[in-house]
Amino acid sequence: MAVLLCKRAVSALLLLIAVTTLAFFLTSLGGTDPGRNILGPGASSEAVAATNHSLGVDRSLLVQYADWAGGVFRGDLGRSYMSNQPVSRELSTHLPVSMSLMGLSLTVVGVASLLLAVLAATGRGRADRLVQLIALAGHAVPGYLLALLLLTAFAVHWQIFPVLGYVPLSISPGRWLSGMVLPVLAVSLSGISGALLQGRGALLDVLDADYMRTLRSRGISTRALLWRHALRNAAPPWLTAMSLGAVAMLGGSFMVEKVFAMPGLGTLAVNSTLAGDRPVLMGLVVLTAAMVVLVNLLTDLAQLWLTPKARTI
Amino acid sequence: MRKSRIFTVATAVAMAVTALAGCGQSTQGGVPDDTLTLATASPLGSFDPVKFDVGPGKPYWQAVYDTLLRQDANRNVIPGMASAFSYDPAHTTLTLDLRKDIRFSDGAAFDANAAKANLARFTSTPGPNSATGEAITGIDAVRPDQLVLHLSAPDPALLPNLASALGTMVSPDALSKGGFDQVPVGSGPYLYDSAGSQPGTTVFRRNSAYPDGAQYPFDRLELVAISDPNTIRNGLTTGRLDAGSFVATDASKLQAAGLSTVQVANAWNGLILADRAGTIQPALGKPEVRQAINMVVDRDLFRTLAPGNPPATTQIFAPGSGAYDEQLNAAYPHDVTKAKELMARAGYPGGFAVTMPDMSSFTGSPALNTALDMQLGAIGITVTWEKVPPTQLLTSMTSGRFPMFFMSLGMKSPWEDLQLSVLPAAAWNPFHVSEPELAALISAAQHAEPGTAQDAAFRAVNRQLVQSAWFAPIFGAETVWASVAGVKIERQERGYPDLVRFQRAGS
Repeated sequence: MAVLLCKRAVSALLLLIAVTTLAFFLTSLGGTDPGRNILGPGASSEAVAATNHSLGVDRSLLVQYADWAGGVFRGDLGRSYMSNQPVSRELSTHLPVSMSLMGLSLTVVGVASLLLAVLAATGRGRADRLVQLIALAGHAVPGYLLALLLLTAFAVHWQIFPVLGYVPLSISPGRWLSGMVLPVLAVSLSGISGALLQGRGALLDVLDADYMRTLRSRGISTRALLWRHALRNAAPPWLTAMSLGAVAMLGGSFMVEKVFAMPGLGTLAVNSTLAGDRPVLMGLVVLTAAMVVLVNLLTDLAQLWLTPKARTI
Repeated sequence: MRKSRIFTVATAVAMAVTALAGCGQSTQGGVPDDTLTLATASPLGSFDPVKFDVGPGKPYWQAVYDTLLRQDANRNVIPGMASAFSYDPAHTTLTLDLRKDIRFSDGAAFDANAAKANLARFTSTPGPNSATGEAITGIDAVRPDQLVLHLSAPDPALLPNLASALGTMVSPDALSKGGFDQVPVGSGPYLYDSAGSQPGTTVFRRNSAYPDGAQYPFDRLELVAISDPNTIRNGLTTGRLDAGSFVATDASKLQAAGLSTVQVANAWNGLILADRAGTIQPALGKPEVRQAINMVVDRDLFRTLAPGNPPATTQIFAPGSGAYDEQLNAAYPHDVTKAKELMARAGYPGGFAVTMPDMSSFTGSPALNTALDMQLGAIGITVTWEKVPPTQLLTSMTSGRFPMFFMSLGMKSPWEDLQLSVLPAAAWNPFHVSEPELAALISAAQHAEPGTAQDAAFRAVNRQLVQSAWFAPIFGAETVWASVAGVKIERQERGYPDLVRFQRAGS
């Protein structure tokens, strides 16, 4: 088990290094001129050159990369070209917004997909068709469109929820939650669809398995059968769908952030891209890559915990 | 039974969330009367004057800082922290009499030494605004209440610039300590409330020590960074926002939603015929060719491509500015026959081929390219559209890679517009072209007596620019500002409205 975990951790670290290295060199292909971006089109070429020199971007790309990578290993992501603030501070300002959105969305996806999968697999018939319809709608309606529909109905027309912005949890839990309801619903629907169908399919297979009939014949209650035995064995595909959904949320939440004017990581990514702020962009790459790796690692661990057979692979 | 339990739990959760939402709404639905909540496209940036965003980011720094001079709604320069100002006859020495009743928020007094420290730092620190102080060669604190600026040459944009980033005063103590780029220490109408601010929302509260506080009727200012026009409109119609701006929007739709609107000219859109000397495209070195381009462009058609029915124009100066001349808009009526004659006279009866950067990713539609292809094609000009990465687009244009290109350029005061796109060193004069006749007119305008005489001189420059067709402006761009009932936006001649323009309705 420990060896397996070490292997997973090492492969995760290697993946992180590969992704960030590739991103560093790809962002340098854009041909942006940080000095020109900072000083504007009216600045003299001498002033631009001096600014580029002070930023260190006139050095060779390999030297820049070594400098940046060394900083990352020391826990220093550098400073933003535009604000001159530490990148870590820029990220920490926007991270709670995205974490709130992702955390709540994953919770909603997890609970809703599980309940609906159980409903579909145990109810069959009409309930199953209803659940499949929900799944189809989730796949068919883009998150951005759903966000607009929810916003128009519940924020603009009926004014039940706030129309824009983000209130930190520490300031007002009620306002934080009310502000998150519509964005979370918009982000969650497609995630629910994916996890729900995987969960439903796996649960149907497990419930129809021979050993489940054997357990039933021993007089084990339906509830115990479902919650103690069937769900545990049906969990791996559902967990995989959940992890894929979490990764998709990272990329897909930007449009929802835009609709609700939420200053999350997506907004920071767009602003830093438009400004050619490479340190912030690279900070975002490190952060999101680390999050993806972490999600995959946690999924693997959950799979190992749920399925002893997986530990021998 | 099981299913009903699941639905019971789900219903209970939904009801709890709705109840909490209700609690949240009770503190958010509609803004208090003493708060002005303003949407701005710019996120919170630096509070360092050298790095100010003088466009949509203006309210952030105008809230916390005051400036040596100010501008009224017609963009006339008026006293600010300086109670009086005057030039010497040569317009190379500016004397500023400073007010004595101003203190910074850290308690430091404002005087000539403080002003000198600010200007000295500004003119020696690289930044996007540092060029605005380039003409200043000397700063003398003659008396505690008098400052004298010496210029290398007359600078007609100096006074408006002293009402902007250049004239912004930071506490001298903060200047020496640093850190004011994040935590501003100024003497403006508001104080930055970092504790009350949230990501994307910056809060300011009234500075009771500000001597001209009566000009700012709201006790609290909230700036919300939003770039999406639909979100801004939703915020206005639900009362979450008090005011916001829209680019290329039909104002009547906003008015139909019960909002008050004010339209402000802020840019011109059209072709920059950059290679006027014919360096890489000899045809553009001929005035007749440039005039033909102006004549073959159907401005009325282009107006239909842009939302909000923007006004057609043939000039690069803002309506209402000293250089603007309404009559010049009739200089190039759409006349393909006449345009062909001009091309033939220039020696290009069959036209020529030209490469331009593709702007469709910015305009959001290929309609602009199609229209230009058709219209320029009518006089034999065939365009090859080159895809340029967005991050390289501006550099590719200002580096002289393209002989002509479509662009949208902001409009400020006449001299600033000349500095931006006409003077030999201007960023948007990439081939650094200068014509003797034009240079003489520009010099005359630069040295003219500010006011009527200088306006007339600028109009002469404008006439020459239109006549020799340095540009082919097509239509203006107006920003539509919308506000809710209870908030009035005073119409400003051009640019982003100053914070002082936001008043209570009926005041």
